[in-house]
Amino acid sequence: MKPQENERLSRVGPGTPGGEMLRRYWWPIWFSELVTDKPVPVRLLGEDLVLFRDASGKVAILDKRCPHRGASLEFGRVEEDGLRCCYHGWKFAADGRCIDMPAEPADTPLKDEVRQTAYETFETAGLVFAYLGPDPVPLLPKFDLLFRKDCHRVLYSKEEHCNWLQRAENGYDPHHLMALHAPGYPQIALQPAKITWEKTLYGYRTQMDYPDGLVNVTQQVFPSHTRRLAARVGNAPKHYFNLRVPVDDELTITFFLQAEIAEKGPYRLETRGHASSDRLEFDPIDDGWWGIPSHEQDRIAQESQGVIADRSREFLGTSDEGIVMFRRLLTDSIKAVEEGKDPFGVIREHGMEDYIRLDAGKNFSDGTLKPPDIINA
Amino acid sequence: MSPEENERLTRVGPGTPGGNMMRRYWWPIGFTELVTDKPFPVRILGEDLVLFREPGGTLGLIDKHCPHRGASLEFGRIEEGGLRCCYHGWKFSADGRCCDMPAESPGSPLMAEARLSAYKTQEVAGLIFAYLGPDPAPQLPRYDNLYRTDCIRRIGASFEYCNWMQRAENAVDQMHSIALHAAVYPQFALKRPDVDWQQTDYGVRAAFQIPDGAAKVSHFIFPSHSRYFGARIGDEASHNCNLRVPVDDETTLTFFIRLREAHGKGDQVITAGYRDVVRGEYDRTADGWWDLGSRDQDRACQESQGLIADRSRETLGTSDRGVIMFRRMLGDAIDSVERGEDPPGIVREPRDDMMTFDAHKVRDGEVIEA
Repeated sequence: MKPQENERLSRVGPGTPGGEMLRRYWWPIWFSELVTDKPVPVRLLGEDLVLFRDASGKVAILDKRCPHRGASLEFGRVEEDGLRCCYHGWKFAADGRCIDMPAEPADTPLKDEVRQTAYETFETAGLVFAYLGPDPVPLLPKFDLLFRKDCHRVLYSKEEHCNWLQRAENGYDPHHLMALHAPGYPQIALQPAKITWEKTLYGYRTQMDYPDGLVNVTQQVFPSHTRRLAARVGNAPKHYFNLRVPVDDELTITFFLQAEIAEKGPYRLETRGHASSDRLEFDPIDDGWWGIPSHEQDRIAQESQGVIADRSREFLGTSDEGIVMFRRLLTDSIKAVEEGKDPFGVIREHGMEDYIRLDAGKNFSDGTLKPPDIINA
Repeated sequence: MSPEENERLTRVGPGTPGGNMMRRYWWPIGFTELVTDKPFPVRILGEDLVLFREPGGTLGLIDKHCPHRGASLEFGRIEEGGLRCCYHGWKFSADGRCCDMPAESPGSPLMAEARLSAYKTQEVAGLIFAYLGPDPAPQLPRYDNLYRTDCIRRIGASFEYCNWMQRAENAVDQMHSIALHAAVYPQFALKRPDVDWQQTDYGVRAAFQIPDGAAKVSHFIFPSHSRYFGARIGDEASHNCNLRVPVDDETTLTFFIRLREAHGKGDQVITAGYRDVVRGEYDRTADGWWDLGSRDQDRACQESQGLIADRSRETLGTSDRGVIMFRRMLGDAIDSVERGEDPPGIVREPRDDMMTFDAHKVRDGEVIEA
């Protein structure tokens, strides 16, 4: 890949080809439970924003920078009808209109001239989603773990100090499981799997068939999410939707939606919040492999590829076909947006179904070689 | 404002238009009480310097980096007649001349060549001031907070991790009291004031009045200082002079001189020293407004404008007349220096009288003064 192409695929800021494409999707931006009566500073796709919940209970998102003299609205006060800047008291409604300028003359025309950038939000499954793209706003697809009611959910997020594309590619790279995650999946350690790719409306269904009848199925949701079932040694099997969010060119936040399907309620929702980290730092362990704790393996491997991986220096093999497919999807999507069309997987109408079932499962869980039933959603 | 103009007004390093202008003023750089027998590193206007007091009391202010191989003189030893570098023992006198090179052969011609920049200093009111500009050095203006007697003078300094101009603009921007300081000045909270900014020979006098009678008068001393009467809720009333010093393009150090009456008990200086802070971390308190602690309100807000605020993206209104007045003065001052003239507020003739300021606040119709 040429360096220019790498730039085109990886950069996410406003006005970049990749950034314009990524702005056609809804992104999780924070936890519902943590947006209360205080403004919350957030960063998404290279834009500095502030979240707050207005009196009606709806979450609003505005540009973080007050248009007056650039103070941050994160220090503002949430009032009945909007957010007031701490510096000179300008007040902005959820839709970005300026509704008060206490130091200016009462009839100032400036109030109508000022308009703060505001974006659409949507809440589901304990997460706040934002849409930063142009109108008309598409739908947030009803992916199962975001919409089905019959599960207990645990929500948390972690940060990876590298470009989003490295994290997204990891989902299209099933073969890393047998090496990077070998300590947690000793049954498949260094065992090559036969991979079957099946294109879906939202990405790819990936089936990994290992020797001894071991099977793992995951779903890639374009542009950067993975629906999977985790069953590493020492952990009970859990369903996951990993939503990888480009904060800016050099920082990714992964929102983990962990679900336990249960027939009977009441259903729990636990919000654990965000855990920060330092780039390439972890507490080493002695596992006979890489010495990286299970929950840090992906982060460390992908951070080590560089802040923005230099794809002009790669050697791709046949086992990287998933990566190649994904990059093609990405290139086509950027081109589609440049031609005024929707990129891959954007939907504007829901079907009849209640939610979109993304089957994901594994038939190996607790270190035994005996294949139990596939645990499936 | 164009991005180029923003650069011109904000940058303070040697050789920049703004830096050349700022070098025409005396700046506080340290506390008398804290500069004793150890060298003290100082960064000001983007220059790294070291301040030291010789055993006889003479102050030296010279380049921080030894001209030999760049070691910092902050690790040096103060001796009779100068400061000795820790690395190879070169010794420098307060005027920047090298007076010893123990590893070189006696009579080395190198000694005359190795010369550090040395700057003038003077001490007043417990503070050490420096002048980094060209000769002749002007007078240090006799501000009342520096020269008044029979008072308790509390001095200290706090860092702000943003460009000096944001801090200076804040001093001339009276309007922000109605919002940012609403929790500590409830009499002004979100009330539309009438402000009269008058340009003076030292800067700007601002008279602020809100319809129900609350009022205040405060002063902006060019290029970046404020002189005001403080009467925040929870604080004893005091006369304040905040001297804002550009450490470099992205750091400001505010020296405060707070005066309270000594009621005939004579002078007293309390050196509070430095308050170090972390950009982005502020005292928080539940006050129903911005939840920022009183002393961090200005810093939080001005740091949040960016390391160097981008003034090409602003929306200024009529309430920003004071800020606009200051920016015009600043542009004119830089032009003056480029023409070889003095910028505003430079005092050349020695004087005996003090420069006083009528700073006060009015609350419930009553004038409050210290």
